[in-house]
Amino acid sequence: MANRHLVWLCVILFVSGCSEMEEMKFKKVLVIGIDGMDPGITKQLMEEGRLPNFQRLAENGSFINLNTSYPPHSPVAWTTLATGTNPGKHNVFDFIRRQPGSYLPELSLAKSASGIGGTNYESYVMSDPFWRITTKNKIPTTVIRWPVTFPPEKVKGNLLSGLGVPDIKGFLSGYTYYTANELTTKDKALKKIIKVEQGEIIKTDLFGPKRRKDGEIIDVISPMEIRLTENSADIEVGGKSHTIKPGEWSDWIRVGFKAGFRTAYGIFRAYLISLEPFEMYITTIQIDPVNPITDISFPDAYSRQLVEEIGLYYTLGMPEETDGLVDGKISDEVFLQQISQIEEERLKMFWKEFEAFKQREKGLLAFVFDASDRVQHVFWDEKVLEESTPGIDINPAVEKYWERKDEFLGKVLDQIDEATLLLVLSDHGFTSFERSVSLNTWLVQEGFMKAEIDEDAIFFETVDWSQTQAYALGFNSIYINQKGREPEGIVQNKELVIQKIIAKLEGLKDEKTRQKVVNRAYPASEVWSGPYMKNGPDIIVGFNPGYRASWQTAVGKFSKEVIEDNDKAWDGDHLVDPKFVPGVLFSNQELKTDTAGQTDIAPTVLDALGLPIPEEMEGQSLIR
Amino acid sequence: MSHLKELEDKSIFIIREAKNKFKNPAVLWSIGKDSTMLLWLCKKAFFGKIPFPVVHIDTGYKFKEIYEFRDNMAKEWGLDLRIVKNEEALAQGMGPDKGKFECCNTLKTEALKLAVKEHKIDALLLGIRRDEHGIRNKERYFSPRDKQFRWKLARKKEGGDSPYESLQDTEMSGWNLFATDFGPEADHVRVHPILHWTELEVWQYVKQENIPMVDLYLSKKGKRYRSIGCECCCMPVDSEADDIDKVIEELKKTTTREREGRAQEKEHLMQKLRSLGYM
Ligand SMILES: [Zn+2]
Repeated sequence: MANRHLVWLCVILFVSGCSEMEEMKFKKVLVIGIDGMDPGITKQLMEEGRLPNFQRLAENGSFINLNTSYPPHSPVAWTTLATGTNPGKHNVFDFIRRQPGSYLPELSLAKSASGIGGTNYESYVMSDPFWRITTKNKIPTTVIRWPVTFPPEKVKGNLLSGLGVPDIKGFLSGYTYYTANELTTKDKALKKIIKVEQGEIIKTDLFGPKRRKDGEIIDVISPMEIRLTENSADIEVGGKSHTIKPGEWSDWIRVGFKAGFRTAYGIFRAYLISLEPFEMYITTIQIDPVNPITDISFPDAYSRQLVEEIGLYYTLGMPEETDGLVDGKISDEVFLQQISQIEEERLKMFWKEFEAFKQREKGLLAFVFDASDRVQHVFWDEKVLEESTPGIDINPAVEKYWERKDEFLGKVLDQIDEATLLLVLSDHGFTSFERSVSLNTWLVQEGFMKAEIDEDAIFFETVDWSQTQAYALGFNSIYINQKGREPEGIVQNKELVIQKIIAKLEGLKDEKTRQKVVNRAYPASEVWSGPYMKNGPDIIVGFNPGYRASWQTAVGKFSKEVIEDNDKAWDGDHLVDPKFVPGVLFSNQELKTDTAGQTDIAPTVLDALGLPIPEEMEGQSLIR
Repeated sequence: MSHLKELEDKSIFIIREAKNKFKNPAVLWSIGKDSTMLLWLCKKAFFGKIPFPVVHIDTGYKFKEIYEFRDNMAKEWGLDLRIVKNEEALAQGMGPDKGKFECCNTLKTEALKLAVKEHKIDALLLGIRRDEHGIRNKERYFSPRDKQFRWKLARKKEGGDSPYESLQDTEMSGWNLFATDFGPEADHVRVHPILHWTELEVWQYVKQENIPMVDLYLSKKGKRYRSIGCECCCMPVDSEADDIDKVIEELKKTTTREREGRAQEKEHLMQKLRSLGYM
């Protein structure tokens, strides 16, 4: 008895002594997030000697895999990284969630309090991110572009919101393409292609916020005049003229949209493709950081101060033009030019905040780069279902991106001191997207859903709920049509239906490739726990690499076939079984483990700063 | 069976059910089209004579046409009319200038509380319809209230997407499946016999049955009222419909427009979702 007490006393002394030591050691924490940095590609490039600075970091500190969240979606993963909790506690389950009391999907990034293009938003995140705790403890804290930080929250420093910041319409993206060419049927379906008349002066409009008028939803517009000369175009908006030549980008152009008593200010850049026939692409019209229609930073003036120091910048949560590229409206080259613009702006933001961070005695800087994710989504050359050769065929665009990140890391490593804990991490890895799986069509085929397969029907319009046991919404989520929870729920024994669906899903074979489509399907209760489970799905589908849920699945639509080829330029993805797409974790410290999970990050950050780890957090500090 | 007959049958069933299950039911009459139709249905349910009191809340701000209509009909239909007024509030100068919500709340709700208490009403029949917007979409045919008149259908809860959770299961739309026993917490029960009617159906029925209506609903000088409550809270709409047939035609057009509006709403949501890029 006495002996055991003695042992415990020693443990306590040791642990507390240790925490004092750590407190002495670290005064600051720098977290650099890089969305979608994949361990496979990273190791391959390191072996080829193309990432000398990542190599240096791995050798002097550590480099391990960081297990990703269930499911491995960026919003779910970054929220888990920030809060140290699982979706059952933090309340973000998928890119898309269902609206309570209905079968309608909605985006999970931020809840819009008013219907169309509103300016009141609320966060869905229900547990505390580490920056809230450092702020409470009066530690200087700056968070830049961390996903799912819109609307911005108060920190003891600056916060610039990332993924989730809407455009001027309240959408997540939406380019416009002006053309003098006749519109094709495909163009008409795209809805953002505007036909203009060729001439010396082209009169057209810019499309701003949405508003309701006499029961109809209309676009608030603002006029744009384009004067064509022999070798350039003058774009006139709001009394200012901007000249560009074919093959050139304009600088930022500001536009005001009068909506009622307020004017909503937006900014965009134009890319002139050709003078005759006239063809011009413009970026999504972004919230103007100088005069934002809704706050995108804390303090609210921070978004404006940044402009004074680094100039105007992309404010949209996901500004990279993957849509325009997938639609064939901009070339690879133009897309990559835009990636460079975005990266350049982010680097300016980073160095500005890093200078301030360096001067501080104590502090936290958390900064996320995410163009990496978008570059890989559209330039992923690996084909896991077609080829069996080991090693990844890396596209030069992807390779170049990582080489640039390596240069950046080199500069950071040269400047950080012993008192700073550095964590470089990603939210998930990457794999290919070759075959697209329509889960709702599959549910119908297997008898779990009664519906007429109509490819034009949206939001489950053709579903007979009185004979439907389950439905899929989002990219890895299946919900049971549960009595008492769903508006027309019928299922009383939920567990039984969950088990049946899982057994069937895990047996699903792709006739074309003769491969298993699903590695495992997880009952939510196996991978999540917490008070918000009821807002999430009941089954998380863990696809095998090469497979992903179809986009029709995500919004409650059907495809004719259960499995179809993905022939879009969007050919890389990560919405598979989390086991296949871990992220990375680099540190300048020797980590005491070779496996870590996302919930370990927040405890590590707090521990390094000498703060107690809240009970709510599930992981452990990696520096003990 | 015709569509209107089906609607009528269901309403009459609910009215009779309320009379059977409760000791002191009463019907609330605002003199508007919905509650006037409700009175008509009550008359039909009990073969011409309403066997319980008819409560009218006088906010003191009604149109003079309403008072005339009320008194004439009360005589003609032999109603046991009980007029309730929040004299105290009116004396203190409560009116629309104190704010629309305050006005409606004090004058209507407080007066109704007095009436429920004074006449020991345990079931109050109201002419609300599901196609009116807002919280009424979640209403049931039988809906319990506590002493503060709070809806006991939903209870506030912590966390989650919705701040409320449901206490009352969805009613089955078939016959005989209405919950009518709500335990000691319920002070009285609201009964909504015409919940399933639309505005258009109400007018079609008014025409078919030739139910008398206050003529504020018909167009005068290019304007008519679509609903009448307090004079202060109702705005007339532009309309040329000066008889019931024209009102019906006008409503048919608006419902098409409203349906198109809802389709557009869906289209908007789809565009928003697809702006995620993963599509
Ligand atoms: Zn990501």
